[in-house]
Amino acid sequence: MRFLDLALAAVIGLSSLALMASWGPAGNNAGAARLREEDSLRTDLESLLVTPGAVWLQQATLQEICAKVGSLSNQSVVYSASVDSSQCPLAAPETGPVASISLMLPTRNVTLEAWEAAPA
Amino acid sequence: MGSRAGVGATLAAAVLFSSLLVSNALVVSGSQQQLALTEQSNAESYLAAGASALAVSAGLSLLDSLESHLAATLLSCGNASSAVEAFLDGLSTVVGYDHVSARGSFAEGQNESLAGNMVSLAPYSGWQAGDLDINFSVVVRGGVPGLGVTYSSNQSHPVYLPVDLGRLEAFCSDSLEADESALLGSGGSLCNATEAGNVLTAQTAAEAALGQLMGLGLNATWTVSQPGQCQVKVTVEVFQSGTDGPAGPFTVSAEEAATVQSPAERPNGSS
Repeated sequence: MRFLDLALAAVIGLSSLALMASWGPAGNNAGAARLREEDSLRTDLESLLVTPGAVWLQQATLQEICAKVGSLSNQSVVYSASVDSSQCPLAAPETGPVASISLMLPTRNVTLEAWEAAPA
Repeated sequence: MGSRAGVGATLAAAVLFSSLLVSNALVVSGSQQQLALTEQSNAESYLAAGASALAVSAGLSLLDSLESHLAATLLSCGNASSAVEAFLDGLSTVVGYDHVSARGSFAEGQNESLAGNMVSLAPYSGWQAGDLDINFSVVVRGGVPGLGVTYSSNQSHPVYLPVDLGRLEAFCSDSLEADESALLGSGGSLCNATEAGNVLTAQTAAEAALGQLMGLGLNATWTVSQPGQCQVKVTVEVFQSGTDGPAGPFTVSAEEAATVQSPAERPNGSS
């Protein structure tokens, strides 16, 4: 009988631990953190609409745009862009969430992208 | 005793782990709520960023359309401003992308100041005295299905193109008047193509030099009517070239024509 009681207690304990391990807040917390990161990246991208600005993005060549957004990249954030279907060469692999903003211009569509730089 | 201890241990384990499970459930529930709030906040900022980009896109699209129209149209000096304003008032566009759409329209810029420069449209944001001032209105709507998040805004921004239609009109009419006066006051016969041509060539050169000082160009052409009529039709075209527009440099042109006839001139020497 004692053996059965111990076994039952063990089953209850192990089941509970397994349930808590599989159903925890970690996934939700990670998801929320990812969304906040994406939000921050999007704010960074909006600043590109001011500097260098939409008029410049309309007139510049793809190479000029790639050079410009590349120069704005830093240790924290990597910027990139695409004009219609042509993409800037990836300066760094996309890690984590990617935020993007698109300008639907008369002569071209310009999409600005940002993602967190990989830790050094 | 042994069985009681065993049951007690089992019950204790059940109570303990149940408590842990309830606590875990509370923590998970809290994190789920936090995630839901973050999703909503993220959706709101996503819509706001999209709205911002589309509003800029609409404004730039309208400026490009206006620039194309000015570059492709030979305006009439007599009503250049009103013709451009009429075109302006009918200008609108709709752009949309990924759950957000924006409808932009232009109207003549009013005299009162309009706040809210759209700095993303620099250097064409704001109003400049003497230039083509425009009131840019944009209505943006958007929503993320499933999250119950919507976005709505009505905005007005002052924008402009560096085109001085008033100066163009004035220079054009002044030049035409000067040509008429030069022909009538030259003493030469309007029936003589060579004499008329000499007068107008000299006058045009003087007007062009004056225009250059104002950043304007001028061309004049003329035709002398058939013998017996003694009329000269003068056409003056003025233009503002190299104007920096959002789609690149462009030229705005306007022309006016006038027929000059000396009231004292009679063919065949008759009085």
